[in-house]
Amino acid sequence: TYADQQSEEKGYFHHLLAGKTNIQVLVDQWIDSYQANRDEALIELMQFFLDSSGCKGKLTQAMYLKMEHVDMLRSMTEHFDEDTSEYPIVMSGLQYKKFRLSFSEFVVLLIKQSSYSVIYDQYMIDNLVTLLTALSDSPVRAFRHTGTLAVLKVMTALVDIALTISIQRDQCQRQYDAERQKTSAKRAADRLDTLTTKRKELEENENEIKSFMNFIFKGVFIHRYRDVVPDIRCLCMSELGEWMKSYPMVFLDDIYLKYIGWTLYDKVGDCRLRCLLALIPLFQTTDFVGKLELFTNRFKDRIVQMTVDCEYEVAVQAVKLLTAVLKFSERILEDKDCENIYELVYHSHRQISQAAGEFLNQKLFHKAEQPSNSSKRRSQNTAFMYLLVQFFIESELHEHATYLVDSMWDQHLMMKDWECMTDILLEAPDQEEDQLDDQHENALIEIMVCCVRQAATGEYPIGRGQPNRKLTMKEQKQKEDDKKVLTDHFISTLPRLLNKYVADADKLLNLLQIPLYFNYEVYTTTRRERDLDVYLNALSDIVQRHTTAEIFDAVSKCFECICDVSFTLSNRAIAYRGNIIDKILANFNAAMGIFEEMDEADEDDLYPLLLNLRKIDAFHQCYDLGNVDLWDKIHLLFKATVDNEDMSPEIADKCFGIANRSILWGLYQLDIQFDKDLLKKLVKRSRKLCTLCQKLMLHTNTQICHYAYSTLCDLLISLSPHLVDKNPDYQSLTIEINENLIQSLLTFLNTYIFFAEEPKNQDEQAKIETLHKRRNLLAAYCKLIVHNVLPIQAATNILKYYVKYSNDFGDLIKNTFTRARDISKIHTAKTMAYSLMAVFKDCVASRDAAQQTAGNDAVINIDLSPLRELARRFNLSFGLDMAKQREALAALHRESIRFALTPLFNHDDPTQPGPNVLFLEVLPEFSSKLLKPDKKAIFDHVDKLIHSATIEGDAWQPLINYRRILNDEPGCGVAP
Amino acid sequence: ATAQTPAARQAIKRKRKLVIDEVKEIDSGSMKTQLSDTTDIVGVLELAPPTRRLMHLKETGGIEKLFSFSATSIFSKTLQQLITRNMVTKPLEQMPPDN
Repeated sequence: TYADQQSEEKGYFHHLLAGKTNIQVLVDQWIDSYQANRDEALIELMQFFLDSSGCKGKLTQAMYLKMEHVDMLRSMTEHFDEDTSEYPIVMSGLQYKKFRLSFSEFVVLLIKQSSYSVIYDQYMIDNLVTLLTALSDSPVRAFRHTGTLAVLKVMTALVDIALTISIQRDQCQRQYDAERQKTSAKRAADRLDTLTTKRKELEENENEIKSFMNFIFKGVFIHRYRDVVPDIRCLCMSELGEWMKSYPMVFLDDIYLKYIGWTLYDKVGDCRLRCLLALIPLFQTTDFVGKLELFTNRFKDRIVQMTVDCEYEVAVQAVKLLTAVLKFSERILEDKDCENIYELVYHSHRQISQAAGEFLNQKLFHKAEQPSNSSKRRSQNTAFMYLLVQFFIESELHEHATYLVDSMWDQHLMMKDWECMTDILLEAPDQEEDQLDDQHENALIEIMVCCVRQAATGEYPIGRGQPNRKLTMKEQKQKEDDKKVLTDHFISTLPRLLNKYVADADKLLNLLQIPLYFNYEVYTTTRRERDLDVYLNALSDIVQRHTTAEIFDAVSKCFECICDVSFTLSNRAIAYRGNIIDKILANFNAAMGIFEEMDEADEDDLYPLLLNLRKIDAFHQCYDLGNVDLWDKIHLLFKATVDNEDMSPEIADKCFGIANRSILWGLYQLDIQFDKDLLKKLVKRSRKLCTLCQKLMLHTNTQICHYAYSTLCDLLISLSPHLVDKNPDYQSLTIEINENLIQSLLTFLNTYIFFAEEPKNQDEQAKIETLHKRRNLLAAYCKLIVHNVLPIQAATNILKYYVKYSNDFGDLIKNTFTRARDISKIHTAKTMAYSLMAVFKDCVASRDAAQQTAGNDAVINIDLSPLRELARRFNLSFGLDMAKQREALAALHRESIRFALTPLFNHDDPTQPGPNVLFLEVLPEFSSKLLKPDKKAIFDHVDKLIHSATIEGDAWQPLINYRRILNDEPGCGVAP
Repeated sequence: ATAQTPAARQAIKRKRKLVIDEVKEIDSGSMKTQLSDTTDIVGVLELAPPTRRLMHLKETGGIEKLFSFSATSIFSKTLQQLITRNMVTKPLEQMPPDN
């Protein structure tokens, strides 16, 4: 009724829910009404708690006066009239989240406001607390949860009041003592009496409050901390933490702490989390050293264990708590405890690793002693850096420092103290024992290079934090500044480091990463041409002395950066590179000359050739050799590979690389300036390379096959039909796809991916490596489909394996058909049908094989479960929007029908169906998404095919069933 | 208002959504077991890739990277771009008819 609505809208619950009235105003209003008529006000307050529990029952004056709380709640339970199982404080949505906060605030303010008078009238709080205690004890969850929240907030308010009184009492006592010190002459007449009275009153009040606190703790807390509802347990822990924080004199005691200790073992992560969050601030307030010691010793092992909790957030807070413990006292944590936490700096989860970094920093890098009587000024971080290097070496969990550096990145300034790092490497040590050995040098270089990377990119390592995280403006600026600073430093120190370690490939490989992060303009702005020459000389020297492809690749990348024409001093670098390449080419030609003379060559004979191919390949990656045409020589080596089973796979690899890139460089030239002759040359060479790849994909050497396949896939992409968009003249470059080409690619995939032998006794890393390689190979083919190079139908034999290889390649295959739909939904659906047919044929083949083994007397049934599972997964991929897929689904049905009903009759017995009719068993999977008119159309289509033939008997069942489904006849759902 | 027969009211009552906890507290036995056995709430140390190689595989092994880079290793940005520029997906109707 209207009146009810009015009173409801006046209620405190609705005011708080609407969130429009100031809570203090509501509290004042209630206290006024209490002072005017206390029972009416109390009824209203109780109604408020009932409303807040979601109960629609109305509390009458008669009930209030005559009933016990328990009976009253029973009656309210009957009139609860709930719409859902939820109740206001657990309802979702912003309004209810806010309500929960205002509800708590209202209760706290109400008690605080009452503490000035009405709280001591032996009526108000008695009534309130007994009601709330009854609520918090109710089996009705809504009452119990809401009541517990309220009564714990009452307690929180009482704790604050008790604290205030205790301060006032102490103050009063001091005044009293001071007064007594005075001689009687100076004393005010009745001052002592007044103070005594006041003190007595305060003591009485304090006792009163404390007895309520005691009542609530024993009456509510010690039951509810183990409530079956996790959120109630969470509330208990959070509020207990508040009491300990605000009134440690009373609550920071083992009789209370133990409840938190026990809940550290709670099965629900959120409850464990609340315990940790309650404990952290206690350790951060250093006044209570003694009071926490017993607790810490008792529960320390559990807290350490929680650093690997199954929930990340719990683990993070456990590490933070232990850092607080560490700051609080060095003695508590033993070495073995610390070691557990140290390991977490290598954790894959960023927040955990950051927390562990903070712990490590606190433990190791706060009190390291500086070398005394130092003869020369060294960075104050030097000692810390030694420790970090030592830590990295001793932890033995990671071979590289990327993740360690990320964990420590925000913790310590030494991570960007470039001078400190290079001084340790380059300068003579102060004392004999400071001399780094080789292992320590490697570790320091590793750390330094990781620091450079993190400073210059601002990126977190893979797996730590969001992928593709955007840097904030501030981070962007920091990154640019850091880049300048580190460039300025390394411009002069890097060449010295390169020269010092010129013979050490491992160190060089790391050091050569540094220039990739330079800001090259610093060379110009700080006039460092001389340093540039020293650097370029060092690079030339390295190419001269070293032999591995990795080193050459690294040097080539350095040249790519410094030869960038936008760099003012690039001319100098380009000249250096020219000299280096001239030398390499001369050596290569000489080696080729010898090779051509040889009849038979062993590995040693081929070495000079291989070495120079490595160099050429590396430089050719980033530099167009232009007028130096290596094609004929490379072609010669290809021919040798075709003819020779024992050809060095690495030589073949380099040849593929050079050949592939010479076509790309040609394209690059064409883009800059179109030239008909160059175009013709590229057409000819690309066809040649295409043929060679197809040939070499059948080589006896597996590696050579892999190289040939990958090269071919890249070639098909770089010369894809999309080239024409760039320039219509490129039409002739586009490689024509024929069945033969597709077949050879598929044969490769079958041999090396789907039916590849599993290498035996592989360790974990080797297994990952193998899987990764296979995924890369499969993706190469899938890319051809999704980028319009191969027709979608060429994916038939890939889609077929969607279920069978779902663990290893599921994501790749799914991505393939999802993206193929963007090309053509209909063709993709048809291709799905073809792949189902292929699986069907496999099912038939394995039945036939089993039949042959078992003999003709045995009855071997066909197992169509792989087919059904694939169909089910395909069907899911069509999504829920039936209208979008109707044509595609119709096409899938039609293709499937055509296959299943061709031939319609058994060759030997025309009353029986043809061999493929069983395939129809798969189609009900795809019927749920057909629209009614489409079902009808397909039904008619089937009828037309059957014409007037009689279809009766078990063998025809798949067709009969399918027609029923199309006809929407009841009782013929999808087979289970 | 519509009059409700007792039976109808009964039916409504039976369909109540109010949650009533017959047992309100975790029993002592479970509390004790919980204190002595933490196996189900303790995880394992999940290490980030321990070698540079494994880190590299993790970086490049995801579906997005696999579908957007060349199959062979081409580290020059200039050349990589000549391949990636063709990595576009066009609807069939926008392709030349012979495709």
